[in-house]
Amino acid sequence: MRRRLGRHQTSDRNNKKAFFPVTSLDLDQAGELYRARIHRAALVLTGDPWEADDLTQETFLVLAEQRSKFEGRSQFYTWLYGILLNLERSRRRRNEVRQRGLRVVWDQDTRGRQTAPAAEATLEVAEWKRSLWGEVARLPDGQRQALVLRFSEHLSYTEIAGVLDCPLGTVKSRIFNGLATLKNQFAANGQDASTFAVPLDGLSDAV
Amino acid sequence: MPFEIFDSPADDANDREDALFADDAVLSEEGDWPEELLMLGSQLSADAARLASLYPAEPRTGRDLLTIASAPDASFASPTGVTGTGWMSRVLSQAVVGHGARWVTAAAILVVATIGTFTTFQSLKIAPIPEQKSTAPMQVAVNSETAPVSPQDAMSYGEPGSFEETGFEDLSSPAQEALLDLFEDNQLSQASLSI
Repeated sequence: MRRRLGRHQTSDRNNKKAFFPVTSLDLDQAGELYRARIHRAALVLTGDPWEADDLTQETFLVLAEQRSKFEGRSQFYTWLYGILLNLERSRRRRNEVRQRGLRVVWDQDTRGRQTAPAAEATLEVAEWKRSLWGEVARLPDGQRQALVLRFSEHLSYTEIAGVLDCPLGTVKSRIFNGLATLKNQFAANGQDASTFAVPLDGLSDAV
Repeated sequence: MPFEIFDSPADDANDREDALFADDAVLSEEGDWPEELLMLGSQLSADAARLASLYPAEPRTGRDLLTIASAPDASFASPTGVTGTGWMSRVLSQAVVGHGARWVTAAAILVVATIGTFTTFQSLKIAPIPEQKSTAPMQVAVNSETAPVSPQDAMSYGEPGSFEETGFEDLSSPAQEALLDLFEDNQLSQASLSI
C-alpha cells in the first residue's frame, strides 16, 4: 500500500514550506511532517487532547481517502489545515445542536452566530482554560480560526487567506478584531493585556 | 479544496464584522498595531507552544491510518501498533461524553420503567385475608337498651336483688347488718319526724 515519495523537500526550519508532489503522496511522510502541527492546531482549537487526537486522525483519514482530489493549487499543509478547520467546525455545530436540544426553552441563547466550543461538551484541560486560547474559543469562527492559523501555526496572511478561502483584508480584519475582542474581554474582567510580557519574536517572519 | 466551505450564520456574522471594522488601521500590517494586541498575539503563540509540549501528538503510521480508514466505523476502530490503554480510554470517554448520552438515557428509562412496573404491581397486589380463629368466642356488640336479654345474659347481670340490680351489695356480714339496721332506724326516725 505504501508508495515511495518521489520528491519531498522542505524550505525552512519549521517545515513550513514543505510540500508533496501530488502523484506520490505518502501517508507515512505526511504524518511525520504534519501530524504534530495539525495536532497542535486541533489542541489549541478544542482544548481537549483526546478531541485533538481524534480531529488529527480524522484529518489524515480524509487525506487517506481523498488524497487523489488534491489538485496542487495550494500548499499541501494549507489543504490539511482546511480539512482540519472544517472538521472542527462541524464538531462544534454538532455540539451546538446537542446543547440546544438540552437547553430549556426560555433560557435559549441567541448567540447563533458562532458555534459552540467543543470544550464545553468534552474534557478540556485546565492549562487550555487558563490560557488565552480558552478565551479565543468564544470568538466567532472566522476570528478564531484566523488567530489559530496566525499565532499557533505561524502562517502568513496569504496562506491564511488560502486556507480560509477569503480575501487578504478579511484575514487582517479578523485577526485584528479577534485580538481587540480579547483585549476588551480582559478589560471587562479588570485585567490588563499589557501584563503579558512575552517577547515578540516569532511574529515578524510570517507577516 | 475537497471540503465544502460552509456558508453559515457564523460566516455571515464574520462578514458583517469584517465590513464594520475594515478600516485603515485594521488593514495595516501588524507592526502598526497597538502594542497590547501584539503582546496578546505573542502570548497566544507561547500558550500554543506550551500546550503542544504538554500534550504531544500520538504517533500514527500510514498503515495505522489505512487500517482505520478501512474499518466500518473509523472513529472507533483500533489502529494496529497502538497500545490498548490510551485507545480504550479515549473510546470510553467518547462513549460516555458523546455517543453514550443515548445509552445512558435508554438505561435510565429502562431502570425507571422497571421500578415503576414493580411498584405498580406491588400496589395492585391484594393482601391475603387472615383466617378467623373459630376457637375464639364471638364478640357481639349488643345495644343494651334494645337487645333482648337472654337468660345467660341475665346471669351476668346478677340475680334480682343483687348488687347489680339494686345497687346494694349482699349484706351478709354482722357489721353490714348492723349498719343496715342503723340506716333503717334512722330512716324510720326521719319518717316519723316528717309526719
